[in-house]
Amino acid sequence: MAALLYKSQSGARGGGMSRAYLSYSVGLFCWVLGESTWTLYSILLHVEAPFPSLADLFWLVGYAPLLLALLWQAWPFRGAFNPRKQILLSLGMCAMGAVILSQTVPFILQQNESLLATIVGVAYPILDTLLLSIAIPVFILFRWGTYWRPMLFVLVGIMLQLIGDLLFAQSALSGSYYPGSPADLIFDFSYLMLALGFYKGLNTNLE
Amino acid sequence: MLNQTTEDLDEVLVESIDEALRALFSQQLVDAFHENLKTRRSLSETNLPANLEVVSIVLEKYFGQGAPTIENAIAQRLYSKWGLEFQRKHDGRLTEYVESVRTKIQPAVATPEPKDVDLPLKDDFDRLLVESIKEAIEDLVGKDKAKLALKVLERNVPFDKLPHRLPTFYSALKTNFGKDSPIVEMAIAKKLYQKLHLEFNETPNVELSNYVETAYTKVIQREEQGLFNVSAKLAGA
Repeated sequence: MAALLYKSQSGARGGGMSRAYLSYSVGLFCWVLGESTWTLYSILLHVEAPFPSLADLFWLVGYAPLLLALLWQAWPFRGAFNPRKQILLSLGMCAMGAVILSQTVPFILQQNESLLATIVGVAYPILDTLLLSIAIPVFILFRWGTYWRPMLFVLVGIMLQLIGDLLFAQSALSGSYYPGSPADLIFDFSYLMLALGFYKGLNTNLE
Repeated sequence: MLNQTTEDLDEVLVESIDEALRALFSQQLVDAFHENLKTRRSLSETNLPANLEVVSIVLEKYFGQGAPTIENAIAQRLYSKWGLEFQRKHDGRLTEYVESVRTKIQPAVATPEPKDVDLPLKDDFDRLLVESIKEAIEDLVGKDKAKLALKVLERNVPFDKLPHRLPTFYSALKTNFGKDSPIVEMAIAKKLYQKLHLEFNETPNVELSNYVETAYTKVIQREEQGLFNVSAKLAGA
């Protein structure tokens, strides 16, 4: 959907948002590679995926273009962001990051996991929080306008990613994870929300 | 560029709107924007510069609080095309920026010849006020939606009694149009001044009631001075 959106708004019909959509496409393609690699372990190779694995590399790399896409979306409107609200939001995000770290790090340390596993386990929710800290101001800026609808679904998608990543980190590190667990279901809903957001973006009729 | 005409300014303004929307979003959005103005507001590209309040409303409806940034981007392009220095105003709206450009290029713009048109008298005031309200709302929201909006307003104050029940009408306007009511009030005031052949000076935070009172006073003064047509008014000015 993101690639279709990029295709429809690039080239001769392109504009300022085409690079944002290109970044979304690249980021989500990395996540597709991550999902495919993860599936390869369990379905084709019939082995338990190691943690961290090659799939994690694709997922983590995917965050960079996604962050860039949100930044490109927000940048032209940076002057319209309310500084007080921005500070409050940043503080809120820092608090959320602190809560996430306080919940995950002691748990990971208890599991005696390697340093790399600890870093990767913590990286997901932190990166999700970073995505949210850009997506929320963009959403607030466009709220009440027709244009916020696609953003709403993207925002919900990122929130579900955060919840899914927290659940996954806990279940994977405690050994209770199994394919099709609640974390996977949340990820599936997250992808659906993201797809719906980009589908809505494709339909730019001004109602 | 300063030796251009008003038509050129209008043309450049439409170009600036398109370019700004394309630069911020996409050509697809530019097309959707014009389609919306055409089908829902009966506004083509040619009469768009005269209805900038409608452009502001559509931008706000679509982009929420992001609309002023887009209006600034449009104004910035317009200023740059006319070789003028752009100074971003806090809460500056497109209408203000365009008016400012018009004022700056005024000496270069051909002044229309005075026409020998009869000026409205104070007896015409009530009729013109009601006409202005109807036309301004139609211009802003389109004919279909205007019918409904006017019907709702008439439930509060019948239009034949409106000039005698203005406070009730003002509050009904605020209730029905909510946060858009300042734009509607401004459009009505502009329309009324235009119909009365009075010079309109947009002042921030001034309500419709003030504009109406001032207009009525000016019409009475004009009549007392014996100015009954545009030529006479210009000669007397």
